[in-house]
Parts: sequence; C-alpha cells; structure tokens
Amino acid sequence: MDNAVDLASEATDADPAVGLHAVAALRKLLERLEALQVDNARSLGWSWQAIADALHVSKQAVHKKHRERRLFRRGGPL
Amino acid sequence: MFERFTPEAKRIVVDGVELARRLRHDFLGSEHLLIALAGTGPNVATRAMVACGFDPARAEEDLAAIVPTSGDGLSDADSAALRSIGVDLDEVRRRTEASFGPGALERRRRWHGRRRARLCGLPFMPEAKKALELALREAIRLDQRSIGPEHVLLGLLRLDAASTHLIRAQEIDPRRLRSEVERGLGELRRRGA
Repeated sequence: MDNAVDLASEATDADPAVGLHAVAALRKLLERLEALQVDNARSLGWSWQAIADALHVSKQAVHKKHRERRLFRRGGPL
Repeated sequence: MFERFTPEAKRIVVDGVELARRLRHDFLGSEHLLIALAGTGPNVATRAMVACGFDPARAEEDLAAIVPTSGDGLSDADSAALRSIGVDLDEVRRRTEASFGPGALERRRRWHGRRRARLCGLPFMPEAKKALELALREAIRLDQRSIGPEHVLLGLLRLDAASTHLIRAQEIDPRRLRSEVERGLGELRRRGA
C-alpha cells in the first residue's frame, strides 16, 4: 500500500504542475530567508555594501529592494 | 479623533480600509489613505494631485507590486511541493526559529505580540494615525475649524513614509504637491473673502 503511494508521488514529480509549484514555493521561502537575514545583518550593523557583497548583488539592488520592503513594513518577515 | 473631520475626509478613511481589504493587506497604512484620498473630490487636494500628475491607478499598481497580499504565506500545499524536491520546510522553520525566535519564518511576526489601534477592524499603522494627527495640526495652523481632504493630504506629505514613497515613485516632489495645495487653499480664501 505504502509502495503504491510512493510510486504515485514519484510519478507526479515529472508533472510540470508539481515541479513549477515547487519552484514557486522555493522562491517564497528564499524571499523570506533573504528578508530575515538582511534585517538581522542590518541590526548587527552591517553596511548595505557588505550585505550586497555577501548576496553577490549590487548595493543599489539590495538597498532598493529592502529599503522599500522595510518602508512598507512587509514583503517579508518584519 | 474624527469629530472634526468633514464627511469627505471621513470617507478617505473608510475607502482606505476598503482598499486595504481589496488588496488583501491586513492593516491600514499611509499608502491606503493616499490612494483613497485621490478618489475623492474634486477638491483642493485632488486638484493639486492632478496638477502634479499623480496617477492613483499607478500608485495602486506600485503598491500591489511592493506589498504582497497577506494570504501568501507558505501554505501546506507549498510545504508538500517543497517536499517533492527534497526540501523539508518544517526543518527549515525549526532551524530558523532556533536562531531567530518563534515565528521567524512567518511574515508579520511583530504583529502578533503587539496591541494596535484598529479602524473598522483593521490594525491602524502608527504612521497613518500620525498623518491624521498632522492633518488636525494643519487645520489649526490654517485657522480652519474642520479637517478636510486637503489637511489630510498635507498631513500625509509631512511624513517620510509609504505614502511619500509612492508619490516620489512617480517623480513628483512632495514639496511641490504641498505648495500646490497651499496655492489652492489661498485661491479658495481669496474667493471666499
């Protein structure tokens, strides 16, 4: 019985609906983790430049994204 | 707080709450008041906004893009989808909470612990409250008995908040908008005198 269930879930893995949902969920999770880590780094006194370097993005990109998020109080864990 | 608000100014608050609900935001902020304000009138405030080229539809789009809806947390379905690629969300949550405390992975964790003022059932952001207090102060400064949309706009423009961010996003200087309102009020006074 368990084998049948396993087999069914494996079979659906190649299903784009499942795969795409996984990607979307992973992106959501990524955004949450990024917001959490950026806020923590800021509260520990990290500069935007240091955060940008660690994330491998430009300082402008990280500043724009997270300043806006913090200003609107949302878009990630506050 | 609202005793001295004109019916039109009260409508800004009611429409702001409605907008927040429509966008599925679970609080009322200065951004909702600003967009609701643009939908009133025509009055001195909305004429100033039009003169500066403020587009409320665009502001709403910008807002929807910046602030995701409240219902977009990681659901059980997301959890199952993540499991299908070998990511254990419960384990990620457990480890994040071990480092950052309970609810660290959930959005708005600060919301739950605090008591907030509510308006029509929605938590009222401190800056939105501040904007309405500043509106009262503007009315007093201008020696006017009631608080109208123009005072609410002047109050919003005094903040450095989500509302002014949406204005600047349309390449409008809040100071210019402010002087447009003052000009409109001056004209109104002259005509009344």
